[in-house]
Amino acid sequence: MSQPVVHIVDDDDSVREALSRVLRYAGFDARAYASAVEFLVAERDDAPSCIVLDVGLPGMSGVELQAAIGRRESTPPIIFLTGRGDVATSVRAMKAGAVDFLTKPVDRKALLTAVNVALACDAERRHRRDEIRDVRERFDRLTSREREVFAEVVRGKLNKQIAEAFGTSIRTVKAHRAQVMAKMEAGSLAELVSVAGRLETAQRATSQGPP
Amino acid sequence: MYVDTDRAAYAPGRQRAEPRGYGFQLFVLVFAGYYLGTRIGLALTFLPNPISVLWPPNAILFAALLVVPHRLWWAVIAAALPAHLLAELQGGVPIAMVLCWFVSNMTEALIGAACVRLLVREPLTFEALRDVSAFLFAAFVATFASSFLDSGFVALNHWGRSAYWDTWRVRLLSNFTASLTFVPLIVTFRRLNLAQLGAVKRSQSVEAAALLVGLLGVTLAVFDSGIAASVAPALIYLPLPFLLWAALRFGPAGASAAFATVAICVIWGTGHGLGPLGMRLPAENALSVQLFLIFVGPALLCLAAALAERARAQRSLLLSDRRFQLVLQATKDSVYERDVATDALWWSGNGLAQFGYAADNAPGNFASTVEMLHPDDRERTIRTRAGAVDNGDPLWEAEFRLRRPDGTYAHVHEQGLIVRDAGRRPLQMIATLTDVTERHDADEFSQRLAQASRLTAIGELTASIAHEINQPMSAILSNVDAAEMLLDAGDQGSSELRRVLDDIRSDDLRASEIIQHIRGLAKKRKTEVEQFDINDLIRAVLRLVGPTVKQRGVALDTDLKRVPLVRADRIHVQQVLLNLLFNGMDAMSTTPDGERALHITTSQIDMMTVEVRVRDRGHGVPPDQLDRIFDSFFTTKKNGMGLGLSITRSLLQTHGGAIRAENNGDAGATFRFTLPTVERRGDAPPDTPRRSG
Repeated sequence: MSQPVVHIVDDDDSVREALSRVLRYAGFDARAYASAVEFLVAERDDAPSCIVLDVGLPGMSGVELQAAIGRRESTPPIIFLTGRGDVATSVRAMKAGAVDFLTKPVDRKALLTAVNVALACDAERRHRRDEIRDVRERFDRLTSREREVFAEVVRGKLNKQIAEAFGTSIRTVKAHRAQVMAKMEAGSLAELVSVAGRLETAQRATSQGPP
Repeated sequence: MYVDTDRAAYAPGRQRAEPRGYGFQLFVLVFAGYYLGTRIGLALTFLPNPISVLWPPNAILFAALLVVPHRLWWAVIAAALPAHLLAELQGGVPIAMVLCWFVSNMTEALIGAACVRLLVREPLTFEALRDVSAFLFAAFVATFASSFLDSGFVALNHWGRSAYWDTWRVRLLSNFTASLTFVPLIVTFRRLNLAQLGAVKRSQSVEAAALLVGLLGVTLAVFDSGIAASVAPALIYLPLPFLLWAALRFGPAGASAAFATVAICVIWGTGHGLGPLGMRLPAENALSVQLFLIFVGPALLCLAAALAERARAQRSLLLSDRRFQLVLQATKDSVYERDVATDALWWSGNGLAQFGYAADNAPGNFASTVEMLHPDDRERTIRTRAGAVDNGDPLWEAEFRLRRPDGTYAHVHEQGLIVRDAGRRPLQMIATLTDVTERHDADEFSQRLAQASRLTAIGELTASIAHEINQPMSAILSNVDAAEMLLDAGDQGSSELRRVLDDIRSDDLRASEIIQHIRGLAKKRKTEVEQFDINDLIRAVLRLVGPTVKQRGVALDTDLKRVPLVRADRIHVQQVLLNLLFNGMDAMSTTPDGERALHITTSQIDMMTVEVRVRDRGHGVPPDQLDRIFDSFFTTKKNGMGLGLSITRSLLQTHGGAIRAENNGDAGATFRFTLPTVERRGDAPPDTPRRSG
């Protein structure tokens, strides 16, 4: 597996270079950007990653960048750096989902701890995301009738009730139900319900945007 | 004791308007002089041979040309012509010969006068050796050249029986003698004016009369009587003491008058076969007389001129000494003169009175002056003085504190000159001590004021400063961490580790540079004028102010044109910019968030001036207060001291700059200030910045 990526966005050349060094020596793939715009236009692969972001960037500020990228589905966790202990900004940033808020100068221990926490968050986020993607892929394989049957099944309806509701035979419903179980890769009704729960969460996330 | 008229009054370019009737007077004088001269010339002819010993008309003409402005030379010639015709035609000379003689006489006078005019730019006075030698040269050249012409005319007209060269020689000698006798007389007497003669003291008149009597008595006795016949020729020296007396006591005018008197007496007596020179044939006698006069005349004129020069030099020395004494009395400054070899000090009249010491109680040598200096200034002052002596500098300057008798200290400016011999060895040190305590205190006050305003600016910049220093500190900490990690990983001094250490060093320097910069702003300091690019300075200030500006929600943009280097004190200009930026931001405190903006531009006004504009979008300045905002203690701010803009203006004025304010058409105000470029040297020279009040 490749090294986790840490994106560093800071307009100060020396600070940027020094932070990259520490992270590189700590075994990360450190990638540095001098401005928010530079970060936004850069190509990023789908590796485990986090962002170390300076609050006081010229042009688009760190908080503005956070707001901009937060809307995307695959936003890595953000660690903010600030020159001064600005409480208002830090509260705003943390509310917007920042993992940590570090004050410069930042020592290695604090930085690496924060990065590790952020990467753990990222791993969790990625895991969740993969799972959701998986469930959705399975769901996408269902025919519309199967989806209807799926919905009724997880609501706890019996085959007979479903057959009555759709005006078909119980045998047909059984066949659909078997298809749903197979396509959704559920071994039992309990598993199917749990998959449905995750699917619902994912759909809500897609329709409503990020939390 | 001769009378001296001001040479400058005759200086070229300062033409004196001739009084009414001057032309007529000139005509009459020249006519009469020329006519009389001719008659005298004829009278002094040695009979029975028609040899004239002295031919005055040419000399009179020569003298007339010398004393009138050259635009009137035609008038002199016009007056001489009728006199010439009248005198000559009486003698029965053919008209052609008469006219020829007029031409040769004219030629002589014109050559002589032109020659003098070329050699001596100012009017001839016979009061300088240069005048006398120019005159002798001109007179000789004129007679020498014109005699060829004259002899030619005589031969052409078949007049007389003399050979060409005899005529030439006779004319040369007689005309040269005449020039010697009459030109100095006329020129010097013409320069005396009646008012001055009227002011002559009785003792001088008596002396002049005694001289005249003595001179006439001796000359007549020797040359015009039979007395001397037995003891000749030694007696010809008898008039000499009187001639010397005249030169010594009555200057060039007296000498030439005495000489003319002797000349006429000698010629007349000798012509009559009297005196030591009248004992041979008329032609030989004539030659003797001429040579005698030609030897004595120039020597006498030279002597009188040399004496006059000397008297003038003495008088100007006396005058300058008196002026110097007056200057010393007028100023309170102390002046000392130090003999380098003996270390002896001589003080001007006041001594150190200006500092409260008794006038006769000034220190006698350098060592004792050093004891009067403030202990902190001693070494520096000694070094400055000794350095100037050792480096071969002609001048030195020092500033030090001098103890007064009451124990307080005066700030003193010492300005000195080192006198050296031909081998550049120092002989004397001459210096003035000026009390600059008041000026010093005023400077100190304005420096404190400027510093106070800078401290205020620094206070407002705290956020910026913290950020600017925090960045390198932050990079340093991370780099130290990085280095530790490399070492932990078993690094033994790789190039990577070195790079990390290099970065630590440069960030450390960057932090200390910023601290220096702030310290520079905070320090109380003297003005240091240098050349720099105003745009660089603006960028540096904006970097410092940037975070503060952003924090206050102000948009900043610049339009910095390429401009020549300016000449000023960097810190002062930074202060000016900071004051204006903060002023602009304060003015925009009530401006809505998105509209706050500062716009900074630079431009070149002309070769010698660069302008910087700071434009804000604040509340502007009430029009009736536009000309008062730069006054001290005038403020529109609730808690302002009213010193910022007044200090800003005084800082700019120190460097020959200016500032004004105007309201923008839309919103806010624009402050424009100018600074001199390196091209302009006039009003703010590099070494001596003008002091601000």
